[in-house]
Amino acid sequence: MDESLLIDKLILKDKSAFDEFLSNYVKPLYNFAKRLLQNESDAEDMASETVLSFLSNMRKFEGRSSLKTYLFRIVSNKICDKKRITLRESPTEDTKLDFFNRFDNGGEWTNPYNKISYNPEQSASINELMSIINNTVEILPLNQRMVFILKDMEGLENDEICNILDISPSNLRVLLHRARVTIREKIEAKC
Amino acid sequence: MLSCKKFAELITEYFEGKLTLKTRILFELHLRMCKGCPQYLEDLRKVILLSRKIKREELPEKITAKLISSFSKISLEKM
Repeated sequence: MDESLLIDKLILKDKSAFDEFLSNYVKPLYNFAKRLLQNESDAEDMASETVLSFLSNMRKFEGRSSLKTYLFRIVSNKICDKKRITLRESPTEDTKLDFFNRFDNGGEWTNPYNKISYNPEQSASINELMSIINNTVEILPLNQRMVFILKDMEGLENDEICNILDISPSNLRVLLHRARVTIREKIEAKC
Repeated sequence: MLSCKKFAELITEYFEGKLTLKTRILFELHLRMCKGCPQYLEDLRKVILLSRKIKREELPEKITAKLISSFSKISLEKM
């Protein structure tokens, strides 16, 4: 459903609109908060407060950004405040990534590269990989975790993510790349 | 020519279509000539594909009940 139509229907107490709102907005919002806060109770409180505040004031929602951007931005700002971090700083050089120890001074692989092996026909294999991804996401630095979740787990577009997190596109790409590289390294270590 | 290290650094930008023409040519040349890097690129692609498939948790009953209750009250008060 188109967002402005969804909001109009929410104002009119339309139940199917509310169900869609829960499924397409509140559920991802809660999952986002939970992955970042790593605490179910805090995530429940944060998601509820954010959504209730929106519902109380939805007539005033001007639609300057998408509803998803608006809600996710509120939650990400609250989390950054809670964790006392700022996302707008440019990432430091990649030298701290262990991954770059795998290259010699000439930039070539020091050891033969081991590809990730999994059997796409076997769900156990896929589930194991997803489990490794989930576990690794939890230990990523908060800024990388936010970008990875929004981009690779929620499938948001880059401009939406930049609006939500108030970061530049190049900053987004750096953080995303680091997150992906770290996850890939963890998978290789465990397989 | 790109080194493998440089190739690895550029992968996300490649996926995003943000390489300059010149860099993309060098990147794709390296992709054709290197033994390890094509696999590395495919592995990052797998990470992305698998991540998209990870299911979200369902909303806890507590949140759903709270929101349903508040939704009814908010709308009624405005009528």
